[in-house]
Amino acid sequence: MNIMFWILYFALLYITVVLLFLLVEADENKTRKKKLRTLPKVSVVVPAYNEEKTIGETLKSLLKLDYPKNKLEIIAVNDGSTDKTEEIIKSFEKDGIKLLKQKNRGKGACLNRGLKVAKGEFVACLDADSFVERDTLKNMIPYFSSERVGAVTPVMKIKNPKTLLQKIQWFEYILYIYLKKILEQINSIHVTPGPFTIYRRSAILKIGGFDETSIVEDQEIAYRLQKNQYKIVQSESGDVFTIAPRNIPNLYKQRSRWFRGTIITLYKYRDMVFNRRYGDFGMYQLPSLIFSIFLFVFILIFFAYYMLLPLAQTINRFAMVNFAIVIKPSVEYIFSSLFYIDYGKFFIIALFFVVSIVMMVKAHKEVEERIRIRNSAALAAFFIAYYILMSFIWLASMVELVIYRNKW
Amino acid sequence: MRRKTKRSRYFLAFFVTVVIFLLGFLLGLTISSGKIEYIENLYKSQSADYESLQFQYVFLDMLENESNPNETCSAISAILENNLKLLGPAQDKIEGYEISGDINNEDYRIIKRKYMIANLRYWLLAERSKEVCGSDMVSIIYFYDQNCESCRDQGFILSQLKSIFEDNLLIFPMDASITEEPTIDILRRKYKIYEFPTLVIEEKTFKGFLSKSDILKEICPLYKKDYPVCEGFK
Repeated sequence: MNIMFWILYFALLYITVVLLFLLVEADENKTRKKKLRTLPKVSVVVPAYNEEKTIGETLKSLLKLDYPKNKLEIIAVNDGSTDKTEEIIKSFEKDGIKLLKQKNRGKGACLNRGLKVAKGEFVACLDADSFVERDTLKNMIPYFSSERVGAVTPVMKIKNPKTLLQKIQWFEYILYIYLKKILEQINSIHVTPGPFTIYRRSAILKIGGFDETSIVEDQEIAYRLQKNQYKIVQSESGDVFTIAPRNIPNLYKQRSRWFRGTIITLYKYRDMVFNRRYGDFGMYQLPSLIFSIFLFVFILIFFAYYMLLPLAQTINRFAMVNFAIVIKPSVEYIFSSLFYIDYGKFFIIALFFVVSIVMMVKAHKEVEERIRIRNSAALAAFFIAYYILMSFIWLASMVELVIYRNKW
Repeated sequence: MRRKTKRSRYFLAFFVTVVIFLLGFLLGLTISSGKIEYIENLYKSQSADYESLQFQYVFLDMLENESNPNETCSAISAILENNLKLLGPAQDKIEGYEISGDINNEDYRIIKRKYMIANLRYWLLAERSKEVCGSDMVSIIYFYDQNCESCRDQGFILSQLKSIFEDNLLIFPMDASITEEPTIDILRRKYKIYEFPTLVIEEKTFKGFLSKSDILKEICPLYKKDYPVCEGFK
């Protein structure tokens, strides 16, 4: 247990130090943007499966985009919805939105269908539960600074976070944008999220379109772009708002799919891991990702061993004396217990928190948001409880993967 | 197309990692040697007190031979009180160290051994106090082992009882893993201790874990005074 702990600690420390190096470099380098004389033609594909509640607003947000109307094409793909999704899309046809229909075949198939019809040089995908700002597209397009840039990812934020869980995810997303900004410098972004990533159409067609069998087509396509030596760029402005799961069961459903998808995709592209051909992506990012999966499971063991077990023991002991506890707090005792804290482990946890807080503050600056006092409970929960929740979901996802392995 | 990788970044990061790691390691070493030093100082400051106790016992022997029992008793209770002041805090500190520290450390074992000897002396004195002065006290010798899981629970129950009966319940913890102290071996033979935890409540040996009510059943009848917790156990 102890040796394992120190090895993990060393690896974690190393990954963190590299990240801090990159963080300093990121402050110095600004991402290259191209000055555009004329705006290129862009097609937006909106795949929708039973999204009657949100698709109207999604399409409205697209119509409000500040972009020349003759250079913007909006295609909504109804993936065999059984609700009113199609009727709602139809009501937008007068505004120039095209409707495509197909039997339910999944998001990857929708995107490929849209891709075939699309006329734009660039194709943006927008999940039907996400919304763009007026200037999002205009801000993002200049990041296609060279032919090698295959995709530009947006600044993705949570729409109107209301529940505590949504507020926690708000912080998570902000941290994640910053992390991607850092990783972009070493060309190591491994996911191009469904809400409004813009792709170079020719690049996607060249590498064979979206994988229709993948449960995480937005991760799979990113790996494939990386494998074909395309660049993925994280834009610095261009907000997209997405609806986050309100409660834990919904969050579980979403994350479990992501996490299973991550493992499947990693397995599919395992030859890229520790492969020099893929530069930092192969040598640093993928190994770190695999390590972080182990770390999540380890956090769970750590949590069980150092928190749950002692807690259970204490409750058990209290029960032994029928909860008639006599406490005699002496200065002597408090002093000596302070003295006997395991400072080695304490130091690690403290380091972890300091780095996270620094990242969080810098991330907020990066996306021009402020940390609000009224959200401090969510921030604390993010740091303390969220990782443990994620660990549980990771473990459960692995179990699901093993149980249903024949399906993949 | 070949990707460019800045290798120097990774080497430099590795170097920094090693430095931080070693610093942390050194810090850990310093802290743990600090802990030992702290316990040693604790002992040094107490060793004069331990010697003073030793002298008090000699004085007590002399008193018993020539003066009346009243004087002897007041001397005994004074010495008992001194013991209590000394051994209580020392126990807190040693217990804290047991939970977090390296219990195979040589220095620690020596300190622990001296602490147990002091405890044994205290136990003998308590027996004498009961005999000569008829003090209303019950003593429990508690044999335990570092590796025994239920010992921790037993320890918790004993410390809870100690908080209830305060100075009238004397508990003498004996760590059987300190094998270099022969007195413990002698006691183990006398009371036939083969497993842990084992409690010796006033010369009676109880093998295995005892619950709170098990212990109350044994000790309550021994007290002259009535305690609220003892209701139903007398």
